[in-house]
Order: sequence, then structure tokens, then C-alpha cells
Amino acid sequence: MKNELLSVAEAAERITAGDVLAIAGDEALLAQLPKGNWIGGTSVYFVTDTGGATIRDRVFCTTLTDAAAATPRHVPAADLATIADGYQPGGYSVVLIPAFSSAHSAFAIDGQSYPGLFNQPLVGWIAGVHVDEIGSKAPKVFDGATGLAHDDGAVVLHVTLDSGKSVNVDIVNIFSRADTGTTFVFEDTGFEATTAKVNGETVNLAQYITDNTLDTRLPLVANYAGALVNVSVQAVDTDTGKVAFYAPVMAGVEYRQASALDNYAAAFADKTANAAENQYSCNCILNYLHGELEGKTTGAFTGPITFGEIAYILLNQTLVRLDVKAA
Amino acid sequence: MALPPDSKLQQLLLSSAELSSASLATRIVVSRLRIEISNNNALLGAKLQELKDFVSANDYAASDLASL
Repeated sequence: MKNELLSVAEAAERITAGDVLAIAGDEALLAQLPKGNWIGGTSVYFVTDTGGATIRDRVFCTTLTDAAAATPRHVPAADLATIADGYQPGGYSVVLIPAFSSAHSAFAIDGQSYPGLFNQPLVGWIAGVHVDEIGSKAPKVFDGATGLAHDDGAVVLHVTLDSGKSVNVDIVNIFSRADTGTTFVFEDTGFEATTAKVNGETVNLAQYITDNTLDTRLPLVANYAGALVNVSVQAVDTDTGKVAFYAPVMAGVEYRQASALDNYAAAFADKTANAAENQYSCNCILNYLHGELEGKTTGAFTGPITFGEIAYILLNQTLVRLDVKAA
Repeated sequence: MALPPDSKLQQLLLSSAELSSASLATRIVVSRLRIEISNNNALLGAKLQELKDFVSANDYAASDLASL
């Protein structure tokens, strides 16, 4: 794979030449690209070779150089359960979903149960906008097959690999579960919660967070058989008693708050010290903002900064990577 | 690749053992099934079958769980 920041003209040239691309960029730039074997999502934040940056005059292109063929398609929100229908044997798929859309919540809550979803590697991210434009401008995803932008549903690029290649998907979570003994368990699955069982006692979560001055920049972390999966806090409202999250908390799962970090950029660099360049990867807007990553590098990985990451399921404050190797 | 015996798969679903050497996909699937069983014990049989279907359909999962 090849990761590059390109002008619209350069990206268009690649598309016209038949390259298979996953592209991130400002909506106005993505809208100028010709039809072809690509999908795109809006983002104006990136981690480049020289560090994190807000970029509106170029698009971030990952050329899927190992792809023998690819099929881009838009999947309406109501049909998300059919994502795996497009899987190509021995291949992998990249999925992009606009933030705040019905597809975003549907995939987050129900995605794990979609038929065949885990039958091949699936990575992607949630498209966003500049934080100053949240609420005034909708994130978009682009289907290169039609050139059309969508503010709901998903665009999926189903990739067929050259023979003899294998794919590895992994996540890099810089957080660990705090060893405080405090556990959080929710009765219902959802993007918001009023109550939670904290160490077994049911409390109003917003009040608990406020009373105990929890640092909401630190995610709640679940242990999925050894994989640490974050859920990030979006807002705490003691007036309504509600806490909103960037990904759903899952009923019955035990969460603990992450331990504090001294240095975000250093934490990423440490976790990715042995990583190869030119993998497909994306990283979370919350890491970018909380970690003040603008101008800082995060090891070998470059890619878009997103409003959620997908490695089969929706993740928060996590770096997702996909690597294609000779089998 | 042969499936592990039902008793081993059931034991896996009823435990909280980590699968540190397994693929991310297998860890997520096993965790979801564990959660669903934990929330409703009556689902054990159905979730065991779901795990068997998943392992049957995916060589990587069979490899992940071969050493159970």
C-alpha cells in the first residue's frame, strides 16, 4: 500500500489510470474526483510523515497496490446487514460511514451480528468534519463507482487480492484499564446512559462522574478476550442526568476507566515502534485533540483522523491498521 | 480443520479467559457471545451453535481455537 497526500489533479490521474484507492479529504475536493475504483470520506485532519495537520487543499490517498480488482458500492442504512454479501474470496473490505448518520448508530449497535461480517478482514472509519463545523455541515462518504456523495449509509470497497497474499487487521490502543478496582456495567446497550452499576451499585452516571471529577478525556475500556475496546465519553449533563458516548456501551460488559497518559504522541510511538510503513491506518479525532497531535508524529503510521474507527466493529480513541503481506 | 469438541467450546464461552494469540475477529466474536450468554443463560445452546458456525466458516478462527 502507498499512503500519499495528493492534489485533486494527482488523485484524479491515479483514478483514471485504474488505481484502487481509499481517499480522505475535504468534501469540496472529493466532489471533484472522477468515477473509478475508489471510495472516499470527509476529513480535514490527518497524520502525515511530518505530523498531525489540518489540510484542506489536498486529499489523503491510500493506493491499495495489492488489489487485483475492487468493487465500490453504497449500502443504504437499511441494508447494512448485507455488507458481507459483497466480500470477494480471499480479499478484504474497507467501509466508510458518515458520522451522526443513522448508519453510524446502526452499525455500532448491530454490526457485530450482521451475517458473515467476520468472514474476511473489514476495516474503515467514520467520516467527520472540522470540529468548528459540527452541527452545521454533514459528514459525507463518496462512492467512486457513481461519484455520488452520501450523508447516510456506508460506502464499501470490496477488494480482491492477488493470489498468495494474506491480510492482517489489528488495533493499537494506547490506553490500559486503570487498576483502581472501579467497574462500570450498563443495563442497556446504547450511545447514552442515565444509570450504571459502579462497583455493583446503581448510580446516576452523570452525577457520579461529576462528583468524582473523572477525566472524561479517558475512555471506558472493555476487555474483549484480550483486546481492549474503548468507549469515549462525549458529554456529561447533570441537568438531564445523561451521559452521551461516541460509541455504544454494551449491556452487561464490564468497563473500567483508562489510566491517564503522560504523553499521547510518545505513547503511540512506543506502541508502533516496530510497525512497517505503508499500512492502511486511521486514528481518532479524540486522540488528535486530547493528545494535541497537531505537528506531532505517531510512529510509522500515517492516515486520516476520524470520528470513529472500524476494525469489524466501531471503536473509539484507537488506531486501526491493515497490512497485506505475502502468504 | 477439525472443530474443537463442543465441551471445549462451551467451556470457552462460559469462561473469561483471554485469547491473546487469537485474531482480533475471533476475540470480538467470542466476547460478544460470552456477553449474550451472561445476559441470558438460556441462549447458551444457540450461542454455542453460532460459535461452531463461525469456526466452520473461517479457517483463521479454527486455527485460533485449535489449541483449546
